[in-house]
Amino acid sequence: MRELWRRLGYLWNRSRFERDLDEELRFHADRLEEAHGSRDAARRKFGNATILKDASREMWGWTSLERLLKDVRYAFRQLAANPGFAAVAILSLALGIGANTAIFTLIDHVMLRLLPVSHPEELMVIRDLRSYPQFEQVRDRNQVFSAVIGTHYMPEMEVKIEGGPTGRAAGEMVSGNYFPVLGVGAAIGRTILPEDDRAAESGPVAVISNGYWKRVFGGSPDVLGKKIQVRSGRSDMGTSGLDVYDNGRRGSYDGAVLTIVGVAASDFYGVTAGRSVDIWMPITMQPAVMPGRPFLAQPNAVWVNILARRKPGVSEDAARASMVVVWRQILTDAEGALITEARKREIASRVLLVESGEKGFGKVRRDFSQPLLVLMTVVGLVLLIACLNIANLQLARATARRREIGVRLSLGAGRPRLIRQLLTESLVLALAGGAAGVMVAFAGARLLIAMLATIEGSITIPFEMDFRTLGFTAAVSVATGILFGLAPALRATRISLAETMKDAGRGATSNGRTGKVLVAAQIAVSLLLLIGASLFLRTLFNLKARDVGYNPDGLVLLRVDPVSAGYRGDEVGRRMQLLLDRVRALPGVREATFSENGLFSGSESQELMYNIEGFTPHADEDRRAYFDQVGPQYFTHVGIPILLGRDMNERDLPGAPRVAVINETMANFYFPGVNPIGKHFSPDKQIRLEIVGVVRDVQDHGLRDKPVRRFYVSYFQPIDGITTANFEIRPLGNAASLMAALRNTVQSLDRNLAISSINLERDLMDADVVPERLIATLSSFFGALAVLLAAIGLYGVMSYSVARRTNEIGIRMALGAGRPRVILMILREVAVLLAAGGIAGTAAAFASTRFIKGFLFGLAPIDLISFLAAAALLAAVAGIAGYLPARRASKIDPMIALRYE
Amino acid sequence: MGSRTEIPPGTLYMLILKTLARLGPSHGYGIAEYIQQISDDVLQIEEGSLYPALQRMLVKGWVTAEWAQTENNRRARYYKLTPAGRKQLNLELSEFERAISAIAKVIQTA
Repeated sequence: MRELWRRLGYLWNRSRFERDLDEELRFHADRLEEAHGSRDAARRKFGNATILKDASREMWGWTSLERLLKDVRYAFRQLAANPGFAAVAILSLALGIGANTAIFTLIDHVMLRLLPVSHPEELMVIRDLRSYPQFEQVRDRNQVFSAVIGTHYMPEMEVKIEGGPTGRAAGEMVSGNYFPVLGVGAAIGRTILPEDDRAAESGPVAVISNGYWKRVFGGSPDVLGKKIQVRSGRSDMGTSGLDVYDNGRRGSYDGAVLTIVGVAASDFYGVTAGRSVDIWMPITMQPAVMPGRPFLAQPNAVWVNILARRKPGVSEDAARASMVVVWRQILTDAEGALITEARKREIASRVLLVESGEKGFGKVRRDFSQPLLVLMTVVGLVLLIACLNIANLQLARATARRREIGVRLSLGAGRPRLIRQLLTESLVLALAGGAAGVMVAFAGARLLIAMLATIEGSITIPFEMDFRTLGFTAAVSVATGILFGLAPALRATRISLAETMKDAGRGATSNGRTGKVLVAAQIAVSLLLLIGASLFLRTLFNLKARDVGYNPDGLVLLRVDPVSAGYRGDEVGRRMQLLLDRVRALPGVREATFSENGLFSGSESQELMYNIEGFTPHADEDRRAYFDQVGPQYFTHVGIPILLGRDMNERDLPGAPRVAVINETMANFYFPGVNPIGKHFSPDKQIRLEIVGVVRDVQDHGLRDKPVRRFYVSYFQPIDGITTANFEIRPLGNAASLMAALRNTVQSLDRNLAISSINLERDLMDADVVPERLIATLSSFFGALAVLLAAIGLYGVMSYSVARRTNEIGIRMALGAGRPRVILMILREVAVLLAAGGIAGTAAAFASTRFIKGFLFGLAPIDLISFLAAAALLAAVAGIAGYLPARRASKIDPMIALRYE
Repeated sequence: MGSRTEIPPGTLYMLILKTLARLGPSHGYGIAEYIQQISDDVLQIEEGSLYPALQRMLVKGWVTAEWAQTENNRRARYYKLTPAGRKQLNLELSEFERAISAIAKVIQTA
């Protein structure tokens, strides 16, 4: 320990050490001289003072560090001497490394990290949502889990803080064992405990995340005991069957009032990677948190995510197998004693998807991992191009520094020493690029998340640069430094001394060749990126240009939540008709109607099974279709062409004959060549629907969707519990000015009627192509960057080539070669490079574009237009980059050129 | 110059430490001279080994160094044994003796 102090003291006082040693040796030499009488003899005896000093210094054990520092200092001087080179290199590295880090951050949070809980490897998750009674059954009847946790995530919960305005936050309702079983403690206060969820609405408490605490409460400990009011309408859930909800109007529709009892441990964000939670509350508070939807005892509402911890010694496979058996028992028991044989057979084929839960629930992972991997590949290739580019610049500089390197070699510097020196320069460059890249990454990750935002919310991750991210950046920086530094360093130091002492220009043909290979490689990779970018762009264009079957421009979608206002049964339809009348009366509204699911609003019916008149199904699949429950004049006002029969109208009320309108696909499937009007089908024993109309197929939920069988029933004659209403409104003029009027209209009808959202249909459709737009935008940006870097590389290599051949070109011109001839000669070189890179890039594209087939729409992975467009763009840019040096070559004055040697 | 004998490996520190123990504080030249004289010119310490060795011993804390005046009024760097150095000397001496007696046994029985 004390030795270390002495060593550090040496570092601190290095100049004194040198002085002392010098004086000491001089003293010694003097005494020797006195003893031997002659200076020469003394000097012979004394030997090499430099080596002696080096050896003395080495004793302190800092030599390698000193050498490194010297190399680093030298590297900085070299870079400072070439600010242009350093700027281009650092900038391109910053973009390359920054983009890689940004996307890695997302991939890390969404796909790689284990949950920040104790023993995450023991956790398992059940893939699909379940009802609360099912959750209780799974919890109580399984034999393989030591604990079963139920959760429900609400991305856009309304929060009103005592004495503050209403805001939005991400909430999660959790069973009382959530924190104890996960092993997550509280930073201050306490967590939610099993006592809190004993009975419905018995535990009005909340725990907030560290981030929310800092953001909203400024990290003040006074937060404990504060009251917040939370309320959530629709979130991720499914309901089916008539009258899911209770019929009695409840006292309050304002939501649950909760007392904050604690702040969760600082690194804990919840149990879904990519979705951070702000506020946790007991799951038994559900009826109060979601007014009008008391789901705790409801077997038909599925909304609970189930997470479980395996018992010690139970393998994942064993747990999975056991849960399938338990699940079938649960389903069988739910049927009661009157279960039919058919139902038994059906249950016997059911499975429960139980997955590894070490990374938490996988919804975000499933949605985003593929786009993120595509983007990672794109930015990886861009970084590769940046490396090739810098390697090329390094090579050119090494050539310019041949003399310097030659001199140092001849003065006795070892080749390893020089290689180390040159590599240090590359690493300094790479680390500088990496440091700048961290800033780019910060901004980039935020931008990415903003671009990924959809109506359902985006990825939310805690934004702190942590060691994983910084480690990744450092590793990538070092790797790139070696990648672009090693080859030029090896090349530059492999030179014969005699040669370098002569003019540096000659005999360097081999360097020129390496540079050309590098440029060809850059051209190949950037062509690959451009082809990818044009495929993605064309996909996006195809999707956006897709005919959805009606005109989405100007259409406004207003979504309200009648359930949370306490409307039940037929009252829902009456109230919505009232609201429709008021909306239609607004001066800015040309026409309006409403439906349950809306258009591109993110909600969709499940497939419904039915028996159809005069049709014998071969499989269950043949008697399923999607459906919607729509208001009066729905098709006319949305603009969906009615092919046969009539639209829905105000007379299709409860008690009137039940009617349905079917789409083209459904009509052609069941009634090929026959008029379906007047035919009947039954989704239920009690319900018989008469077909009164046939309408065109439309794209109402996804731009990529293929036409499916779909039918429409009247909103006033629902065949499934109505949970929401979407008003489709065509304004007379500007839609924006209508928004406030719409809000007022809803408020004036019923203060409790919550507006879930108001959107332009175009924005909803844009949200449907968020991953596509993100990939298209980023791949275009990076494709352009890649081409730019390749052009810089090409320009550099050609300029070098022209400079080297000045003499030759001069002779050619003196012998009568005209300017066009010289330009052509240089351009031929460019063409060779372009062809070589182009062929390699095209081959790579042929081999790899099929991996992105799933992302494409309306075109094949080998899309001629995309390939040609990419090639043409690259050729144009490369042509310019190559033409400039060629023109310079043509301006060479033969007289000067000949004197050049 | 007479025949020179390589200093047996590993004994340089011991020789320097012993010299300092015998002479008290001395400078590098003095140490080298003393060893040469005492050993009747058999052991000659190269400056190239002596000064790095002294640095090493400074690192280890076996000696300290101080600038002082010589008898003929020149500045020289004097090395002084520390308690740690004395301990080290004893350790090396006993190890050296063990080794020597072991070697002696091997040679005698041969």
